[in-house]
Amino acid sequence: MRRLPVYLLLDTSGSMRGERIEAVKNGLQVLVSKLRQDPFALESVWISIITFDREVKQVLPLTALESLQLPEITTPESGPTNMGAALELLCTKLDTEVIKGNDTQKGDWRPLLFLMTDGKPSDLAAFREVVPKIKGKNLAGLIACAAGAEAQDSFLKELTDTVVHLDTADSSTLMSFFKWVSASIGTGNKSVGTTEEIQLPPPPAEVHVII
Amino acid sequence: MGMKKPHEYIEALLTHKWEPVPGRQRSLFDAFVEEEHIRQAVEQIYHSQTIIVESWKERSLIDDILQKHIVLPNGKVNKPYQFRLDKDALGLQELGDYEWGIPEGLGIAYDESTGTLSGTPQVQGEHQLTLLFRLNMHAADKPFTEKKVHLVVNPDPKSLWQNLPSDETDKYWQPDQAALTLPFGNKKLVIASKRGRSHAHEGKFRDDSFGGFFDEEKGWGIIAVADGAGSAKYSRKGANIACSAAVDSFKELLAGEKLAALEETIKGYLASQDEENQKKVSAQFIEQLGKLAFSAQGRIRQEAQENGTDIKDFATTLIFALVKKYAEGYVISSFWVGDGGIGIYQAASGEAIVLGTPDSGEFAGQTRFLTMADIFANSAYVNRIRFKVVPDFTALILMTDGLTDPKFQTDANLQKAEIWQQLWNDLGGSNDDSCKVDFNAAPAEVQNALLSWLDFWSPGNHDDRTIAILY
Repeated sequence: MRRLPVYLLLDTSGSMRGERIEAVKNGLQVLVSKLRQDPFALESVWISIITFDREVKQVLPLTALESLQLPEITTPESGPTNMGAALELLCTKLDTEVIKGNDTQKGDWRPLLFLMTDGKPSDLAAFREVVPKIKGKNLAGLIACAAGAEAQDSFLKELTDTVVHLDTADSSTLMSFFKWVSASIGTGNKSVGTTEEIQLPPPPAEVHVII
Repeated sequence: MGMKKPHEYIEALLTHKWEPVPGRQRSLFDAFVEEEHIRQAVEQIYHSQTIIVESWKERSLIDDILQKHIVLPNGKVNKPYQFRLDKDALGLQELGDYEWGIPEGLGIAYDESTGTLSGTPQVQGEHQLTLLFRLNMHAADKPFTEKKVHLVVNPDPKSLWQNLPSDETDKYWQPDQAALTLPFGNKKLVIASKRGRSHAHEGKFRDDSFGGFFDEEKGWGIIAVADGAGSAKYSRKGANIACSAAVDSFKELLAGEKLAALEETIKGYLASQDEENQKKVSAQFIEQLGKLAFSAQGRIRQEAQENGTDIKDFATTLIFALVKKYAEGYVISSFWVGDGGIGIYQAASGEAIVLGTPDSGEFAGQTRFLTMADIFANSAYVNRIRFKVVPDFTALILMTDGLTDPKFQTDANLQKAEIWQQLWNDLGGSNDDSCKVDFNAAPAEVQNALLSWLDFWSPGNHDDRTIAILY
């Protein structure tokens, strides 16, 4: 069976503490329940969650949607946003968890990456060093989301052309973002050429695409 | 405290609460502790301490269990479920008797004798089960404590697929399924094509196409299948043009002057299969099939230009084969770009001759398309053309990846005769649904049976499916 690996990189730095992280958790719940109603996703989607604050953790290794149970997600009181280190960990995971096709084994679908932050990378040097590596991973889609007023689009634009901005990082806006993510994952099942990116569904009103 | 002897305990108590027993009153103290009402008072203190300690212990152990994250593996509707609480693995050594409270109608039950939760879940969703438990230290009549535990039951994916019609008013609409049957000299051709569940679910179009033609007089026939790229918006038209253009150009070839040269080199080769004749016939096939494929690309480019769009929007794969029977056997020549597969299967010997290799990338769904500019650059297409002479065959099969993915899984398997044999047996009814295509039946019946056969279930494989069989 061919898998569609989906990596979620979530900012859990101090600024996410409180309502925001609760909204993210609810969003993840909804994301998972919505995907479970999608027959393609139910048979193909595998999800991994990597959180980043001062520490970078893969809180959920790549797991089949069918057997997935959402992990505990916590935020520290304060501290930096080590986005660069998170992307570095992602590179390692892409190398070890994603199956490349060859003569005797069927490859996975090209992986999707969704990254969400309410700030900017604190480890800017590491971030800039890892960006070309990520671009070389031939992902089917790399969607970065800047949530809230303090989130800075410009750094995310260095990572990907697909940057969306949420004016506010409140529960309902984050929820509509996660619903959009679940709709986007449904489009991964496409026979695409080797370098083409997936086409995303139109985002809801609260989610602005940054050009 | 409870371990101390009564007089030690009382002495400590007095030291703590009053003042140490003076040495001169030692014998007075010894007599004091022996007094009945003092002994009883000490017993009472011991007893009260035990109650406090045991009560706290119980409270704390129960809380440990209540706070423990018990994970029930997710279930699935209509799929047998079984779970047994492993006390040691979960660190629940203090857990004593227990049973499970289960919402009515869920389809699973708790079997006390084996300690397992089992059954076949009937209701999808997130359910709340109750673990009713006592501690090991509890007596059997102690009331249970309740702990809520979640159980996720996934829906049966089969029940989720919708079958929405495609938009018939679209300028490039094509029916959600199509089939063809054609007399083909002393063989018969049947082709069946069905929209995949993933497309039906979203009301999208079937992106596969096919074509077939046999010229009675010249004895030549052509079979073509094509798979439009899921990511390209007009790929169904691309696939459709690819097949029809190949057929049209083939008809032109039969009507034109070039045919004589082709026939001549084939006859030369059949008479003497030496290296020189092989070179000649190869060159002919490369020229003629190359032209057919190139003209198909050209027709797609023309369509794109007329619509003011990019040829990429029409991205499609293409496999076609030209077949003619000679006294020496069947001459089969093919062109293949993209995924899917084409092979000649001989049931008696179990042999399969695969006419090329699929184009595939490191990730699933990656392939090359007829519509790519570099397909015909630097004679790269030469390796895409094959020819073969066989005395006879059971079936010449052309398929899109909607079939090769579930039936062959890997590129290596596509080269294995035993997998082709499995496919042939599968067509003959050796499958979960006992769905059989009887190739001895009337062509219309074969066509309908083949359409039904295409409905087979394979998790994760829900692409459009097209198969052409010359038998």
